[in-house]
Amino acid sequence: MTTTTCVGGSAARLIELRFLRPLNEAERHRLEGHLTTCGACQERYRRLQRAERIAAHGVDGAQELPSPFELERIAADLGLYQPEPPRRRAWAWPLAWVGALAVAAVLLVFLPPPREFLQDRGAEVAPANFAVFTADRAGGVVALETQATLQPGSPLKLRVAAPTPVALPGMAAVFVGEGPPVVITLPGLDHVDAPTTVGGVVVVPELPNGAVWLYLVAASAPLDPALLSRGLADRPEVLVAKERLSALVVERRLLQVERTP
Amino acid sequence: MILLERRSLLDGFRRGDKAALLEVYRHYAPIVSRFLTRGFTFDSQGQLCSFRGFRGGYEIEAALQEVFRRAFEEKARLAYNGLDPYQPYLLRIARNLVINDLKSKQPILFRFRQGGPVVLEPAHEEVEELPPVPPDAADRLEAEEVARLVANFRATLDPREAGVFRARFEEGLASEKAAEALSLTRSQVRTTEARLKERFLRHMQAAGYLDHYRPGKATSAALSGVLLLLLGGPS
Repeated sequence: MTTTTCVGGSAARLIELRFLRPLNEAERHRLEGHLTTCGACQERYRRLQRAERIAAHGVDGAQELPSPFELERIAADLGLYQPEPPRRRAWAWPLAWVGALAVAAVLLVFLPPPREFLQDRGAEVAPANFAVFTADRAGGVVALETQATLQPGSPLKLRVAAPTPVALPGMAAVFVGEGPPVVITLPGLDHVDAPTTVGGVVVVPELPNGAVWLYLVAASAPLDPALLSRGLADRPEVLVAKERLSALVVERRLLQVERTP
Repeated sequence: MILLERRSLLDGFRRGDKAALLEVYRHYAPIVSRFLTRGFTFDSQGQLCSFRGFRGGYEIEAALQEVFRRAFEEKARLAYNGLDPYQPYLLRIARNLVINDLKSKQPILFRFRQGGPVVLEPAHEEVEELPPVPPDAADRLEAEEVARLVANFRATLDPREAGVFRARFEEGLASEKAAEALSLTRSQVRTTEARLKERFLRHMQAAGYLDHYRPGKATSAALSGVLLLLLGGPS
């Protein structure tokens, strides 16, 4: 089994996007151009496609049968099918439901993923990804995924990967839930070109039980906690527009804070 | 057989109506995909050869797209007589496309191989479609690992998400049909689907399958060990 180590970070992102939404013609052209020369990205594409196929047809059918989304992608490329984009804006949720979250957090729920949001607005977004790990009760290490349950006081460790070398001197984790955002700044990284562990440990702050967004931020300049707190509570693109931060990476995960007696 | 059984669909197909073309595409795309994956035998300069089919990945999507692009050109649509079954006609287009591409100095279908060879093997008998090649042990292991990750992901879904996952990811129902079956609005289906796709991607990445995938317990144990050290305190 080969590993996927591509230096074409934007192409790797295009592959992800192709599985999330239809690419426009220019994006598809760029992707195809890259795939004719990059074996690592071909492998990345094959794995994503395989995961979709196995979800649809199981292990045996996946070898030959395209997944439903694969068929839709090709139909879209042929101009036969135009998938409707998902609604991005908030609609009238019942007030009782809204009351469960702070206003800032509710607004953030309906924003598109920050990375796309920033790219749509022309911001330079570094082709980097975060992984967050925590310790489980048995003492093992588990990757922290969306909807995971967090205990206040538990430690988190961040790892950032960038397929093209990038300097990220500004690094922070921000918890946005009920109450003011909690910003935890971390030591920056001078050079990232392979999965690199971020120095320091993020200790989950004392937050009330319930939903919380964890924002992972990396930027081309040291980050000001007050600015981050304001920026993420408003909108991430404010950070780009007002502070002129480039190579900004923002990822977020929706988590549940839950104390156990 | 759908074009023989439904005159209105055949008429729409000949006219090039998008809805008709889409229906024909949906019906035949899995058949063409299987054909292109398995491969076929053909005569090359007096010798019987077998083409062992396309591998997965973008290559197969590009090949499928090219077959239907050719098959849906006006000339090809009007050349279909509407009396014989459409499937052999369509597979003939696919077959000719592959053979011409093999001969071409600037291939369209094989351009994603970065100059890697297309292996043709001698064949003993002529067959329309080769039998499937059983996966090797590594391939099987990877498939089973992915199936386990998919099952883990499915287990995290709430009832609405599970319904959308089943209808759209597994059964391939159109959004409208999925909404009808699940008593949701189309907008709810689309929004849930978009969230599921994003989460599915992150799930497979977090599990290590999509980047730096290495099967075997030794590697993951070593990784866990390193991380445990890191989690031990500030670095």
